[in-house]
Formats: sequence, structure tokens, C-alpha cells
Amino acid sequence: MADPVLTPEPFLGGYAKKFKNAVLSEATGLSIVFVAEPPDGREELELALFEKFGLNLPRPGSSNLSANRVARIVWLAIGQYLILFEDCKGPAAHRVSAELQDTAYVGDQSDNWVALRLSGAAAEAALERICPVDVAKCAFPVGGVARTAMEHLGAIAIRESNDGFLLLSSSSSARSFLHAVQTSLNNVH
Amino acid sequence: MTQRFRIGGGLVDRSKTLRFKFNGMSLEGHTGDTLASALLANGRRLVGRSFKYHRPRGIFSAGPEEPNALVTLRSGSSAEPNTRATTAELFDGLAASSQNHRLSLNFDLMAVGDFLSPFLSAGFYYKTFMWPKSFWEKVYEPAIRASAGLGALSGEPDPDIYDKGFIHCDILVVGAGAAGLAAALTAGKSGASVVLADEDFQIGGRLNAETHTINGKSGTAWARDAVGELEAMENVRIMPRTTVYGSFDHGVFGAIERCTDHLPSSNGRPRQILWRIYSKRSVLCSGATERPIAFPGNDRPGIMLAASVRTYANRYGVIPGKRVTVFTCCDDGWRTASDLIDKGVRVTAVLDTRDNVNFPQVPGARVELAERVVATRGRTGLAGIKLQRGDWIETDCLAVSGGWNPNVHLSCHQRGRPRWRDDIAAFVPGGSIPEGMKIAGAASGALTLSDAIGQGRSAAAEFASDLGYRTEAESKINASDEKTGISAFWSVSGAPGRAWVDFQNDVTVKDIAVAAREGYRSSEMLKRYTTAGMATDQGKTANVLALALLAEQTGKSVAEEGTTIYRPPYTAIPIGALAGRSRDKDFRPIRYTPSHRWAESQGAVFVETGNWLRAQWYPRRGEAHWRQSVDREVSETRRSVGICDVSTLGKIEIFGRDVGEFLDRVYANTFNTLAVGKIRYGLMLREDGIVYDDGTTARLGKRHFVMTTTTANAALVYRNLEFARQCLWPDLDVHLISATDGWAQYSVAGPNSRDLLRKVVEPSFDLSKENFPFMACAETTVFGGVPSRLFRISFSGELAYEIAVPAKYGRSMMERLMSVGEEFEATPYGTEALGVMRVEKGHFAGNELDGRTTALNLGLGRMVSKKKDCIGNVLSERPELNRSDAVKLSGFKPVNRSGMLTAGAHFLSPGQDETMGNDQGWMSSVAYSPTLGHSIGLGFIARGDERRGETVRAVDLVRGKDVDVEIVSPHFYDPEGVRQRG
Repeated sequence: MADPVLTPEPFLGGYAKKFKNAVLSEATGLSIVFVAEPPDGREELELALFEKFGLNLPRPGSSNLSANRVARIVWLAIGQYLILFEDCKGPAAHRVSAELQDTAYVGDQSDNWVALRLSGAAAEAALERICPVDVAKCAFPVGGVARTAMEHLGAIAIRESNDGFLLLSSSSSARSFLHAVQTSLNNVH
Repeated sequence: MTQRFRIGGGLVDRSKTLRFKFNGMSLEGHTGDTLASALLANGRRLVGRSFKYHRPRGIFSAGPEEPNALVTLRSGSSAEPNTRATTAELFDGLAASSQNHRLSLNFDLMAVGDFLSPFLSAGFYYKTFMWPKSFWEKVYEPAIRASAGLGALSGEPDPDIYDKGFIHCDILVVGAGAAGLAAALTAGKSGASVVLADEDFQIGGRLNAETHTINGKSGTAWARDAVGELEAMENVRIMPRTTVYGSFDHGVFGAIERCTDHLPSSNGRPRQILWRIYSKRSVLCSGATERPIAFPGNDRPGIMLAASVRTYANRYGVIPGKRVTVFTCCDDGWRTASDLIDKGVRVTAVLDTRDNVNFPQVPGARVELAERVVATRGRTGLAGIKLQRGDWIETDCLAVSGGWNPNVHLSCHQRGRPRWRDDIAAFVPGGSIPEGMKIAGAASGALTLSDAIGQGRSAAAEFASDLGYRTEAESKINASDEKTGISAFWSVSGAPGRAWVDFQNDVTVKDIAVAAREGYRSSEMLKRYTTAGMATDQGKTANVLALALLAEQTGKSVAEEGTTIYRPPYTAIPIGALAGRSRDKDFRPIRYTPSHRWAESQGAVFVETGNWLRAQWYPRRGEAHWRQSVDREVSETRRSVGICDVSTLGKIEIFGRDVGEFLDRVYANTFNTLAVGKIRYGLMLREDGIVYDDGTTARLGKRHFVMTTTTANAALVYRNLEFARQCLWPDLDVHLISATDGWAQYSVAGPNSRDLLRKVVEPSFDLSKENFPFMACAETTVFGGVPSRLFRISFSGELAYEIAVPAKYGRSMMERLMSVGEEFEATPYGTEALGVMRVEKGHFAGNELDGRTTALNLGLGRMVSKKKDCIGNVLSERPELNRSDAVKLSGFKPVNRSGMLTAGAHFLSPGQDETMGNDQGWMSSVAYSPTLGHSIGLGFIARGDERRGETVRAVDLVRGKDVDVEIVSPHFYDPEGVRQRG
């Protein structure tokens, strides 16, 4: 048996940078779990999610934060959700699977996504350059979720706060995605 | 040079003097000038040469309709040709130059073409230069192209950056003149989110060019106050220097914002932004464009649109001439005379084509009714005009008004056809207006100020109410209600000389007559035959005039003649703006595998595979040719063990109770019998029975499967599965999610692969043949606890595994694999070696799945199970796809083993001619096999499975090769599969 060592590496090396009126950083501690409803199983899933994680099932186009703010459940498609855990110890999918048992199908999605946190007064203006979705607060309130495309890359945008967004996109094209957001921030100044 | 044509008044800031150059000459203007107004202020009337005849041309208008004054701005790589001087905002240091002339602007050698004009009428190139035939391409066409044209591109990369973006609003108001400002104010006050876009840098539209009053204050002051009010509203976004150039489906508009064109340097900011505006409603307030009258010699510098003449006087404080004459067929022309006289400019005469006009006082001017201009003189600028009655008037500026054409373009971009209104002699929006659009002001044919404001308010109020916003009653507006009488007059007939219709493309009245005479009698044919309206100004001043003249020729009314189709863009959009950021390395996204940096550190050579970058081979010191590297990688893998990054393969997680049934329907072969812990190879068919992808699906749990696809088809397969899940069989309990990016996956292949992996996976995991045989799968851990998926599959024909870890461990995993593999002399191998080994083994890939081949062609006909239905099953049974002489996948060896095969070669029997009729099939993939020591190929040949041992020719006409090849089994290497099952 070889040395028990494998070192995880953030897709963007833990990128973080301050721009004029905005901050952009890679969210490296995020665990992402796919959860899907079995047929006619919404009530059971709803109960289990609330009981085990304090999460309410979100409506389409939105997300809900747990009471202790460590988990956010994001509507993904009909009967499908992502649960986002901050700084989760150990594989989150295993935990979710163990807790939800047969009330849901569960898969680990953590490494499929690169996550960028964009916040600050220039965040909306920067997103306006790459995101076809209306990100104005009146149309995209806190907790809002949109599956969209930015610069030819599939993406999920989540409004975490008045001026803060969490952006998810494919991890393989993380560098291109970062470049797209960086360029937007540079261009709006 | 002083600004000797500058007069008092206007909106320019005289406290700020700007220095600029035109054709190298230093001149001065003021902030608020356009290049055109500054040139006119300095007495420059000749600014360019015409496209075809190199006629001297001057500034004709004061806006985007300008056909003549096209200049090149800036120089070197920043040069931008064909810029309208009438819209180019002046800045300090601006350098402009004229276009399309040899020697100087004043003395253009190419003007000799003007003398040849009798031979160069409409369609001349269809009729002349017919002999000798070979001369057309080599002599005539190059000569014609060299003599005709506009500005030239620098040929260097554009140093500026461009961006694009998306704007959403409740109500988009296009145009910020009186109607647009009124609409924006009403909509803004209601609380609706409003975008107000205008192409000008000075908001106000014609309010800035006229002397109208609104509620007792000047139009300019009213516009300024309106802008102030709008700027104070958080829900209103004002976008000056922004042209809305196209109207598309569902309230989507294209717009270009010129961010830094008015500055000496972009200073790192995007020069232009291409916006996509998503509106719920739109109010089109795009105004109207004045049109000319055609008369002999009407193209001399100094002959201008009448409203433009007063724009220069009122807005810029510039007079285009010192002895101005007005030639008009409508009341609007008289306004130019009045405004100029009020400013102290000498108006020599006013000529009206109408014989019964209640005209205003024009002190000092000669007034002639029922009069026409029949000739003009002046080589590089107007010096005089001749009246129909025969006498000449000395004048250096002729202001011409043929009436107004509403700017209906955006209302017609979705195939709408405007309708003709006799009372204003113009086309107005009609027919099918884009959904959610209203037209207000001059664009709708409401040519008076009070009507424009009223329409703007009412359109906005109705839309705001539609969208659930409350509007307050508006205070009364007291605005001018000017006279708009007109009697349509298109051209002066019966006088000798050329009368120009389309100034930019040098189309004359005679050209239109020729076209009609030769049978080009519809507006669309006229346009294409004469090129009227096809220049960069898109015929803004020419189109309606040309149509009216065609109508005269064909005996129709203008309404019957109709217009051509309006298409975006309304004005020219630079290619740079259309490209936006998508240039150079940012042309498209790049996908990297998790261990890409490790491969880089090994000096790997990469190949683009879709958006992915994959290691193609790993050169070692002393290897001078790629084949050396690839041969080594193949040999070392077959001898001991090789490791290949296969993370790019599509991976789809499939959950649910009905996954087996679902897979049975999407794969040609059976899957519902797949046991947990097992993998099965599968073929996917298109609806038409053609194979489009292959891959494996592993069953990791009772209700959890993982499908792999080819790299190229990962997105397509996922999309098809989603369609099947959501639309075809929504009753099945199946959930999908892509996991392609989530796993770093490595093929570990070769006789020592099992021994290597024993050092990687958890010690308790039994890798023995008995416990983990070929086509087994499992979830395990590696290197002391990292979650992993292990698949025993082989693409190389060797004992092989694919092992996957979460992508964040990819680089580390590759490093550790290589580290523990040192004792086995493990070698990394790239896609080339992968390809060689799969050809040796006889596995097909993208070259073979080319959209034409069936399972039968691939030798896998029996995989299309007839015990169940699946996508493509029925149509795969078409007789044509099941002919007895169908091509079959076969292997090919050169008879002379030193011969090299080429993909794309076609198979012929010995002695046959190289004709389509003799074609028996084609070579799809070739490789040099270091294992066999010669070139090998896979291909399709008629009845190939029955012809083993036969010799045919592989003929490659493209590369000039003709090689005798032997038909063999496609499985060159270990045909019994002993090694991979070992």
C-alpha cells in the first residue's frame, strides 16, 4: 500500500481578488449534493429534509437556507435539487444519503462545479455583461436561482444577499468561467 | 484656419476649442460638434469621392442617413473606415481622412471614370467585359474592384476591446426626441423600469435642431429638463450614443452603445458594447428622415437636405453656405429659409415645386413657385443652379426638401410592411407591428411636435397600465403645431444630365428607368439590379425615392409598388462589436482535465477535442518525431502498464427504479438484466436506425447507474436522455445528472495494471480475476480513503481498468499513480497511443460512427435486440440498411508491409477505374502498429466479413496513393480477448 496521501486542489487555486466595488473569490469549501424525489415522494422528502437538515423544499427559481445557515437547498429541475453545504467535514453525499435513506436519490456533485462568490456594488453590473437572466434585485431577489449560460458556459446563479451572488459552472472550464467574470468586472469600471 | 462659417447660437461649447485634422490639415471645432459640423464651420465642403464614378461629394445630411461624408477616423491599427462624419463626435486630436481617391481629394485620378459613365449604367457588368472570357476574373473584375470602393481596413488586429451585455426592462423607448422623452417621462413616473436609448450624444432629437417651443421654453431647454427629471428616477436608464439596430422576436432588441468613440483613447475600457435588450413593451420614437429630390447635378458638395442645413445652423451654429437657396415640395423647406433668415444668413431664393402655397415671409429671398432646378454648376462645390425658366442663381448651398420618411425600420424587422399615406406622401408603420410595440411621433407619421408628445405619452401610459403600473394624469402641453403640407415631387424630368437617387452607390434616375425597361420591375429586383439602397447607408435617403421613380416607370402608385424588406441592422455594426470578447484565445471556453497541469509539467503535446485539451503524447528526451513517442507509449503499455487520462469521457449519473427499463429504450441492446457491480457495453441509435454513440453503463447500486459516453457526444447523449426522460417517458422513475466534470478518470492498462492498482486501492479490495472480472465495477477508496470508482473495462485490448477519483484529487492522483507505478516502469500515454491501440484491437470510434453506419455495418447487428423496442429499432430494419452487400467493418493490411495506409482512401478491385460506380467502401481509421510492425487500417467494405484474405486497392485520389491491401479481421491484436479478460 502506498502512502495514504492524495491532496485536493481547488479548481482555481483558491482565487480571491478585490476589484473596484466588488470582490470575487473561489468558494473552495462547498460540498454539493444532488437530491432527487422518487415518484409521489415529495411529502416524505420534505419532512426528511426539514427534520434532518432544517431545509424547506424551494419553489422553482429559488433556494432556501437552513436555519443554522450551513446548508442551502437549490431548486434545479422538477423533482431535483442541489444541497450546498459550507465547510462540510467529510463527504456530504454520504451523510445526506444516510440521513434521507429511501426518501431521495442522492449523488455527489461537489467536484462537477467551480463556485465563485461575487459581491459588491458592481456585482449586478458585471453580471449584466455575461448573464442573460435579469439579475436586478426586483426580478431576482435574495435566494433567487437561475440556471443559465454565461459566455457559452452552463451556469447556476444564486443570489445570496443584496449584493452577493454565488455562481456555479463546470469545473473543467473553471478558468474560462473565472476569466469571463473577471473581464466583466474590469469592463464595468 | 478660422471657423469662418461659424455663426452665433447653437449648443456647442465655445469655451472649449478642440483641435483636429482632416487629410493632415489642422482645424478647430468645439465641444458638441460632430466632425461634419466642424468641417462645415471651417468651410470644408468637399469631403469625399463617390463609390463608382469618384464624383466629388460633400456633407449631405446631419445624421446617420449620410450617404456621402464617409471618412476614415484615426490611423494605423485603430483606423476605422466608412465612418459618417455626421455622427462622429469631435474630440481633441481627432484625425480623419477622406476615402476612395487616388492622388488628392481635390484631384482624383480615378474621376476619369465619371467620363465613362455612359458605359457604366446599371448592370453594366452583366452586359460588358464579356470577351475574352478569361479576362473577367483576371483583368476586368480586379480593375473594377480597384477603382470602386470605400475606405480600407488596416489589416492589423483591432487594439480595442469590445463587450456585450443583457438589459431587461418593462418599457424600451427607442429614440429620445420629443415623443421619446414624453414616453419615457410617462412610463418612468408610473414606476415601470424604462430604458431610453438614443443614437445621438445629445439627448433631444430634433428638438435640438429646431426652434420650437414647449410650454413657453425652447425645445432644447424642455429636453434638458426632461433628461434631468428622468435621471432622478432610479427606474429609468438613459443610454445616449446607443443605436437600437434591430427588433427581434419576443420584445428582444439589439443595440450598440458607443462608449469611447468620442474619446481620444478607450483607456482600457470597452470601446463599444453590443446589448441585447429584453423588453416587455417598446415605444418606437425613431423620428423621420428627410428625403431629397432628384434633379440633374444634384450631388455637388453644397447641395444638402434642407432640415440638415437648419440643424447645422440651429444646433451647431454653423452655416453650410453664405448664399443659401431652398428647393422644396413641402412646407418644411420653408422652415429652413425662415430659421436661416432669423439667424442673419442670406437666403437667395426659395423654390417650391407647388404652384399654390401659402408661404411665410422670407425677407430678402426671391420666391419662385412651380419652379424646378434643372442644372447645377461648380467643380468641387456648388456655385450656381439653373431654373427651369432658364436663368441661373448664384448660390453656394442648396437646401433640398422632398418631404419626410418616417423611420419605420424597427417596426418592419419582423417582416412587417409599411403602408403608404398620401397626406404626408410617406410610408408609415403598418401591417404586422412587432408584438408589444407602439410607434409614436414622426416615426408613426405624426409630423407635428404636439402630436409627437401626445403620442409618446399615450403609448407609454397604455403600456404602463398593461403592465400593472398606475399613471397620473399629465399636465397639458402647449407645443408647436407646425405646418406639414406636401405635394409629392420625386424628380425633375425632361432636363439633361444625371440626377442622383442613391448617392453612395451612384445610382441615377436613368439607372432606374433602365432597370424597369429591362424587366426589373419589382422593388426587390430593382434594388439588386441597380444596387439602390444596398450601400452602407442602406438607402435611408434613397429607397423611397427609388421606389417612387420605379412606380412612375411601371405606371403603379407608390403604395402599389411597396417597399423592399427591412432587415437589421438599422445602421452598420462593426464586426469587432459583434465578436465582443470572443477573439483570440477567448474565442471559446477551454476545458481542462483535472491533471492537465501534471501533463503540462511532463511536456505533453495537447490536442483540442471539442473544447477539451487532451494530452496527445508525452515526448521524452531524444524523441525527435511524434511517432517515436507514440510507438514507445504503445509498446510500453502492452509490455507492462500505461496510464491515460480519460476524464473527458461523458459521465451521466442515472437514478431511479426504472433505470433498467429506461436504458432498454435508449440503448439498442438489453440493460434491464445488468446486475449490480457489472458493466455492459451499449450502442445508441438515432431515430433513423443509424448508430450515433457507444459507451458503457455500470450499475453501482440497485437504483444507481453510471453511463459513459464518447467525449464528443457527452452533451448530445445527455440532451437526448433528458428529452426521453422528460418528454417521451415521463412516467418512468428516472433522474439524470451529468458527472463528467466531477471525476478524474484514468485508464490503467497493461499486463501489470492489476499489480499497480493493488498499491492504489484499499487493501481489502480483492482485485483478483475471480472477484473482479472483466466488466465488473465497484465503489472503493484509494490511497487511504479517497472515494473512488473502479471499472474493469478495456479499450486497448489489455488487462485494464478505469479508476476515477473526485476531480479535485486528479492531479495528485496522477502523480501518485506514476509514483507507485515506477517499479513497473509505468508510462503515461496520450490520445494518439490510445487511438493506435484501439485500432489494433479493432474497436471503432468517432471515425467509424460518422452518421452513416448501422450496427450491421459495424459488425454488431445482433446487438439490436428484437426482444424489446428502443429508439431507432424500427427504422434500423429498413431494407436499404440491411442489404446483403452492405459494407462491413473490416481490417486492412498493406500487402507490401512497408506501405502506409491513409484514412479516406476508397476501396476498388484490382484493375477497376477510379469511379463512383466501382467504389466498394472506405478506410476510416489508420495507424502504424508498433505491435505488428506495419501500417493497419479499419474501414468499411461491401461484404467485408465474407472477403477475408481478398486483396483490393486502397485508392486515395486526394493524396495520390494507390496501395494494395488485404482484407482481414478488424481485430488485429488478441482477437480472442485473452489479455483483456486475464
